Amino acid sequence: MPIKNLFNGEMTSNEVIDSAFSLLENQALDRNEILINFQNLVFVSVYFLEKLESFIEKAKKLNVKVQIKNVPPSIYKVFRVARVNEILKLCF
Amino acid sequence: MTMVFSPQDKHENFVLDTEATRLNFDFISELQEDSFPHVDQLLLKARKASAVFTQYTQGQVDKIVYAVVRAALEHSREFAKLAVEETRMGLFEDKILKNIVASEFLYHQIKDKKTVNVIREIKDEQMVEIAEPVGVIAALTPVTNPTSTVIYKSIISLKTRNAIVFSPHLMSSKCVAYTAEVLYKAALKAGAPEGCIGWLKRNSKLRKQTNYLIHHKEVDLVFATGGTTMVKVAYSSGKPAIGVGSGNTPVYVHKSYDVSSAAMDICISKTFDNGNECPSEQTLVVDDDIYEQLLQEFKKINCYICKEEETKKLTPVVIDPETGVMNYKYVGKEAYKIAQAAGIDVPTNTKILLCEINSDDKNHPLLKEKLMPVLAVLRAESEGDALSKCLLVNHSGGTGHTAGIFAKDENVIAKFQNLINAGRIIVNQPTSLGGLGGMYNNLPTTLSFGCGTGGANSTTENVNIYNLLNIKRVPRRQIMPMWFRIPNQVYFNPGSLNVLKIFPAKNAFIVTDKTMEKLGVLKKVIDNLPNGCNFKVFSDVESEPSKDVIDRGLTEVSNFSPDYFIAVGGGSVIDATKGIRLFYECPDIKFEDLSVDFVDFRKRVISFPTLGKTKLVAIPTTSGTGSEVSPACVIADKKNNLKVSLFDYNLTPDIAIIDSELVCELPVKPSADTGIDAFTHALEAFVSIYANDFTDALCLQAIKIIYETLPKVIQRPHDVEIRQKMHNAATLAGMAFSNASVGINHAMAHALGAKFGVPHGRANAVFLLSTIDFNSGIPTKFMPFPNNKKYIAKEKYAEIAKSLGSQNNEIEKLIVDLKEKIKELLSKSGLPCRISELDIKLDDYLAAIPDLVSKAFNDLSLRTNPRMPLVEELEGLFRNAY
Repeated sequence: MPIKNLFNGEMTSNEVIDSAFSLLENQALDRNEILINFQNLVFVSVYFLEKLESFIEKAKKLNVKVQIKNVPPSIYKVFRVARVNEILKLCF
Repeated sequence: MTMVFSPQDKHENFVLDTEATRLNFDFISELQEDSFPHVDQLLLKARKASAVFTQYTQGQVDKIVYAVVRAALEHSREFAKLAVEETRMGLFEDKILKNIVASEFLYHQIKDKKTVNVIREIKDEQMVEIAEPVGVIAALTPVTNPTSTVIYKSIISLKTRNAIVFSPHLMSSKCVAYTAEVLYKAALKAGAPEGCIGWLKRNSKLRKQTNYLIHHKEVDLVFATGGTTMVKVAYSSGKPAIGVGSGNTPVYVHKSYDVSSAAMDICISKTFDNGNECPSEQTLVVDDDIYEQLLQEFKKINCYICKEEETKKLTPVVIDPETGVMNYKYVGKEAYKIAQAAGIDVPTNTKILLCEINSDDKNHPLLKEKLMPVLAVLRAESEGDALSKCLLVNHSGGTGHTAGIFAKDENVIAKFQNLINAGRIIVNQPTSLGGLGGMYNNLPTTLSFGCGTGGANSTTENVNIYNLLNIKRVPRRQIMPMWFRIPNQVYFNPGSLNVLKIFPAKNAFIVTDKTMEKLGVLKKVIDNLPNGCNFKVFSDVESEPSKDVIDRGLTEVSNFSPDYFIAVGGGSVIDATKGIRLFYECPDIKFEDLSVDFVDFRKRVISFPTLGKTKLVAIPTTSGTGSEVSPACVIADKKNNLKVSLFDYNLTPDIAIIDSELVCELPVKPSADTGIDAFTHALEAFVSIYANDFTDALCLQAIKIIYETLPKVIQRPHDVEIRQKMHNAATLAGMAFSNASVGINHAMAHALGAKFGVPHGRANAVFLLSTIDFNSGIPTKFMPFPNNKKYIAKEKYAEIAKSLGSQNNEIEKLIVDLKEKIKELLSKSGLPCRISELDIKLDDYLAAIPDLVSKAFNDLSLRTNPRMPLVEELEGLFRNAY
């Protein structure tokens, strides 16, 4: 089931980012697969990148398949420039 | 700045405490390590920061830069104090000024500069430049300017949305770390991405870590400011690098300049931060006329002129005799302390120690760089001597860096700036402050002075924001202005020759051939000349005129001073007249120069002369070549067995008279040959890559007329009305190809004609069907730069078929119809449609194919054909045409 509206607008506040990933991690506990929709994401911070990497690592350990869809080009460029390969592998 | 260290001299010269000994041991142990996880972490953070930075707007960036500049200004005194305490170099007061230059002055220059998205629009070139950050920068900072360099590099890095990681010189690592931290905090507070400024902390493995840093995969650019060794290491990192290196600034004080002003400016400059600035004056070269006066001026402002013995004592103190470079112990020290070390007693308020160097001693150690208040002085016997001495200093370790001149004489300034190799040549200003930029001049404010290849650097610039950007150029497709040029006046209809009478010609030089004389055409022309017009006839033109004919014509015309040239004849005569007129008006130009090949005549290498002293009237007596309206003339180079095409609109006749009464006597065979040449002109111009609405209209009309009229001309050659239609059509086709050019058919016909002596029209006829097929196919290669954005040759052939009455609607069928109609035209005109119909044996023809292919491939006509033929395709076309 796709997770919608978790990542909206400018993800710059660490609290907001923590809260979003906390929700995501909770969902990962009882799922085999998570589909994250970045359609409404406008801006990401360094902290966001680190949390996303960390989440992917945790999901991997839990054998939860993560997929990321609808990454806006400006955010995809951030992933590319940051060379965050573990994130890039999951984008489609 | 030249500072060459070995572990040994580091130990001896400037790190004399026990910590240094420990550091030396650590350096050896570091060699066994090959990873530094905390450097990895620092760079991974910087990598992410650089990525996140790509989302920032100009407004966000400028807000961050403003905050950092504010922080730098607020802490400028503190940073200066730390730098002086830690490095024990330079002057506190001047270090403050340097920090202000690196923040306030720099900010003033860059605050309104665009560094995000579109940074420049070049409207004339229909191009924009877009900024792309370089990414993660490894920045090496020098011991001489540690805090100001951190300020400057941080600001330009943030302004360009890059992340930067500093590696300080060991002797300035504390003040660098503190400065970087203060600026980083200010940047973060203003919204900068986490990790955008990083720094290596003081530790025993700093040197190894620096090496690790600059080779790290996460580093995109190494930005090194410091000694030669450091810069060399930066360039050898395998990364793109901006390295700036050592200087040795010569300053010429010319006799035209005010001596006291020069002394004061030099004093300001050389005492700035105790001479610690690498663009500062190192050796003065002074004109003999003002030499003593200048030294007196220096004395007046508390500078000390060393006696010969004192200079001897000072030399080994300033320049280490072992290493041959400046003694690091005295870099940025006060003059009196340096004098003391040499055993020279000078007042403590001494500003500079000036050492007069014997002009014969070109290798004197003091002619090298010395970042301290010590100046070498050379006396110059003359201006030339002065310039040579400046060059000597310039090439003694400071090539590409900085040079200065004080002069009011613009000539000597011009000579100096031309001779000296320096990235910044500072005129009538202190070189150290002048070199920094933004104070005395509009150079970009910098703490990194590019030295170009002279200093083994990649740039001569005052390194600035633009050096930290990948600039993306986005050129838009240019719609090139096309042209349509024809003679000013075209007169037509039977009997139009009498228009000659109205021209204000006084001396007419008539060029023609023997046939025109025999047929009485020449007489008709002479009879129609204006009253009182002198004339001279040159009738030696042969078919395919050579340069010899042109030369003979020039001999004939030399004593005549014509105001009109009148060409009466076929294409050969008109071409010859164009040549004679060209070389008559421009006797100094060389035939070989004008024949230089080109693709686009607007961008050709040679500059074609402008004609206009005389008028050229072209009166064609055949209906085909179009030379009466064309900008081309073909001249044979018999010596080299070549035909040379000269092409320029200056060659186009001014007046064309299209009078069919002059072609009625033309025999049937040449009428057919020339007629089909005109048909080919129109057909090829219609599908040419330069075809346009103007030429298309002419082509269609010409094709239609020729298709209908040429067979009638063959049947009724003396019918003046039919001849006039054909004559008009040839001129229309001439106007078309003069502006849209021709194509592959002509290229092949030129080759065949040259090889087997086949008349040009006939040579065109035998390739018409096969080249239509070729151009109608899907090209293996398209010809670049077409006027049409789509490949439309096929459609255009179909359009011709329709204009000739074909009722089909399918393109393929229309093309078949067109070929049938052309076959019919050739047949009715008694022309061949295959080479086998010419008097050429198959074996001879096959043997000639390589030569034909080579000639056709190099023919200018080929370049405007819509389809670019491969060599093998061209060979196939020749084979199939037999």
